[in-house]
Amino acid sequence: MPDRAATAPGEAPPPHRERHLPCVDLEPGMILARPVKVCQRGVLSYSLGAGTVLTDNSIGQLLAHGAECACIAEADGRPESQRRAETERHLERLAAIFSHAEPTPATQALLAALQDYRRR
Amino acid sequence: MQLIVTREEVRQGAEQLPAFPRIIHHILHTLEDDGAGMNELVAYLQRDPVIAGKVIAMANRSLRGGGRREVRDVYTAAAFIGLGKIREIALTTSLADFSRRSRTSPHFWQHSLAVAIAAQEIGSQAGLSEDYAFIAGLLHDVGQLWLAHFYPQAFQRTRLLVEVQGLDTCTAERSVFGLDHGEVGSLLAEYWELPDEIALAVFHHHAAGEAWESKLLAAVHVAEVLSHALDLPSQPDNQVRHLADGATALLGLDWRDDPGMLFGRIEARFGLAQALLQ
Repeated sequence: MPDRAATAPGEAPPPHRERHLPCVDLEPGMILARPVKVCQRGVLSYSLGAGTVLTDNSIGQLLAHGAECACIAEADGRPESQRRAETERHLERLAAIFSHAEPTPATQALLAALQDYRRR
Repeated sequence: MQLIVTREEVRQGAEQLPAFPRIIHHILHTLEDDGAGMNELVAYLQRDPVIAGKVIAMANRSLRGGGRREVRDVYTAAAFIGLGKIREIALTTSLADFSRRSRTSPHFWQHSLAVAIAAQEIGSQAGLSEDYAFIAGLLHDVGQLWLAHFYPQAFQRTRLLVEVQGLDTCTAERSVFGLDHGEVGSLLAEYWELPDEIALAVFHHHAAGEAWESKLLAAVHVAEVLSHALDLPSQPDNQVRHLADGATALLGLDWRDDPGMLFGRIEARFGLAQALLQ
């Protein structure tokens, strides 16, 4: 049974952000933000749920089953002003990249998805 | 002033380029047979110390504590990281070497790598052969390699047309050369006897208004757009101009359906590959 991240009763969880890492860069103690499901030849061979606290053993299992990446939750200790400034920089860069884009439905939907992704 | 580069000139130029990496043909021919593919590929890699070194480095990076010994040979490394990863490393390293010998910028190889990874991730969701998607992504801009190699100054003019006048790449190339890198790339793919589906993806990956029937072509088109949209590698002139509705529909992609995992995986894998393979 995988470990789950614990929060003291009555205590709000600290702000966190998602980070996608190659599995070779995972370290024990990291917490999965999203489930990891590894399929080999169309069959689910290994999975870990969101909230799992990673151990050396579980990381070794992910690697042995060929998992490429995992999304972890890490505490976001940045001041609010810094968070806003960095998000703004990302969104400005996106606006520049899409500045000559044709306004097709797919292009607009992709831009909206990327803006949402960069806000996390 | 417009040069006129003919199809015959492209074929003749192909003979003068550095030899196309044989490993790519070898991998394409053994895709259907994992058993034979692993043994033959590992034996092949033994003869290439650069690729063998990178395979071993990846295997050692995958080791977790517990007192396991460092991996020192390709056969043991293969057991750790699997055939798929070995193919990726072999393909990427050999193409990086080919583009270096063809005197293209490091950016060409890094962009090709980003599109290969994105195409593979998209292809995996769409039921495509991941190896085919990776190879098509690596080769999608190979026509630019030819143009830059034989006409470096004219090729720079096309870059200026894109960066300063805001033309899209294919329009700029056609104004200078009379054809674009998609057409040049498809002629090269034909010369190198690559599969038709890969040649098609190379030819039309920028095409607008296509009747999208090939999932591989659609995957390379979307992958190229994503590599620019995610700024991989980061370049001031990364631009998204056109994402074909037909391509995303054929692949079953819905950008409203939380594609954050797709974006994150592409970024994470590109970062690792760039660090390991440069």
